[in-house]
Amino acid sequence: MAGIVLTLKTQPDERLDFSGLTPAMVALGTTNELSAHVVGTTRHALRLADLFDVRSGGADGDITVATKGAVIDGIGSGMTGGRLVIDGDAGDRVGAGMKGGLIEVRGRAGSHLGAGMSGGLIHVAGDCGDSAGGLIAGKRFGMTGGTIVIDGSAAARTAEKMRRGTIIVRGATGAMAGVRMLGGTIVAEGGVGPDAGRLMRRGTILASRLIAGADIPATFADCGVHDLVILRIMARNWTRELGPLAPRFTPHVVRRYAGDLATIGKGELLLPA
Amino acid sequence: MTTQIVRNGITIDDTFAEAFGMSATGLIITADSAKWARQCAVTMTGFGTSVIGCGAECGIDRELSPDETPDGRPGFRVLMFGFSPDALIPQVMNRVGQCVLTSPGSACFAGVEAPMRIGLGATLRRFGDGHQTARRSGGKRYWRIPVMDGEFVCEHDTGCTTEAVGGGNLLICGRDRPGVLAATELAVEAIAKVADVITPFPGGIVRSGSKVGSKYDGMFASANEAFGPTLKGAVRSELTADIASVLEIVIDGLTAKAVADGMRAGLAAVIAEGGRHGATRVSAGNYGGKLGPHHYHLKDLI
Repeated sequence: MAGIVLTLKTQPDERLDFSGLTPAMVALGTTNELSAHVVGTTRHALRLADLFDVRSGGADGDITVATKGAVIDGIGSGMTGGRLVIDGDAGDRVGAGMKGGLIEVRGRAGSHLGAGMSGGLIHVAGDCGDSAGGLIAGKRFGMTGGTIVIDGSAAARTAEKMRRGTIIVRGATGAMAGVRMLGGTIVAEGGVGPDAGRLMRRGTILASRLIAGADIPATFADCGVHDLVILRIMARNWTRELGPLAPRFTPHVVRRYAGDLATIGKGELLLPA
Repeated sequence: MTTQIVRNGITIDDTFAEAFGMSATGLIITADSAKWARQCAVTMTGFGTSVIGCGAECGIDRELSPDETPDGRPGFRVLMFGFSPDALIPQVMNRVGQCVLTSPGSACFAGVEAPMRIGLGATLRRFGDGHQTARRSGGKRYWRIPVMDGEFVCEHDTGCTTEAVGGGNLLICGRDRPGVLAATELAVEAIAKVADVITPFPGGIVRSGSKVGSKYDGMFASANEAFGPTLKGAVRSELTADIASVLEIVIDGLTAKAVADGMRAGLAAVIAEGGRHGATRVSAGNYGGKLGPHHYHLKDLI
């Protein structure tokens, strides 16, 4: 069976919600069931076929969504496998709660990109909004596994309460990246904004610099310059697992700031030596 | 006396090495330089010649290039063999704790992949006294333990196999001690090129080949007088008049095939070059075939 291509044919005057529209659901359902899937968010209960041209195409099992300016939230949320391509900009909660598979966003993504995800890979070609890899409301942890690669910049509160996994940002992160972080890794190739790592307990923030206006939080301790073997290991594993998506900023000699000492202080902010 | 085959002037006894099933694990040890990775590997495999007295049989399998190690630094793969997985656990903990953790710039990783696991950082992390942190990368878990030259990075655990074989052996006989030693060294060098095997005795060579039991209470093994050249006129000897020295190579491997490959390589080296040094004969040690399930017949390895 070929994949499915969804192309917007009518511009909606409301936000859409693609939650539950995953490759697994498409594989199990018929074209009619797919077409009848409610994607509207108002009492009009718009169905997929009301707004999108649904046709076969692409690789086996793939879903391709041509968003054409529509604001679509929840694309790939809860996804467990397969490949989902968003041809254009995406709304909020792309890949939220995702457990496996691959999501490619060929434009920008909104807030809560990969929030609470536990596995899989999300690649965003543009910028993303607040709380990438962060918390889904009501949940205890943010991201607990998997990888997010953002070619652009990330807005505020990236990786809030993140527990495991990796977020690679080619640009810079906004304020409070890694706030309340419990584990995992953020690589900010373009630098981190103000208050990075506030109240983090564990985890690693590896950044190329502090962007203008940012400073090391007062509750982080300068532990000096070190050649960290673990960074060599991580760099090799990223290269092997991610290929061209792997971080390009992978120093192993860094200045280590331990923090946040306002908590247990077992996290770290690593900056070039 | 057994029947014999002659190859390139070397007599090959029509006999077999009798080997036993063992448990084994492996580690990859890295450091900032090959010199210190080797030092660390040599130290941690020390006093690891025989399970009879050392608790484990240990050795360096091979040197690893930076491309082959998890952290891109020079390294060595070491193997450890024991009676059982439970017997290996304290050996791994003590040897890594006392010889790898302590060695400058070292890191320690799993060297065998198998479903059964033996803890590395899982246990040693406590040295960090609460300052240790865990890091998951590439599907594996690593511990970062603070030490005085930075951090000791140690993988959480390593694999353990119960398919290993210990006790493959060759007995190299010749006219004099220096010549037999030179010939045996050539065999050890050849065996070192075989993957997944070690020769655990000093320099890969043992000169005190033993038989099971003793006339004295409490001795599990004692002199194998049948291969003692100074006794050949006084006891029922396996040695002919021209033999004045015998050295043994014991070979442990992760699989039965690895042991066979090791013995084959060692035998080929003695046949090719041993005669030049005065080696005249190769035999093998066994217990009549009743104790060990793995029988390596020399004639099958030529």
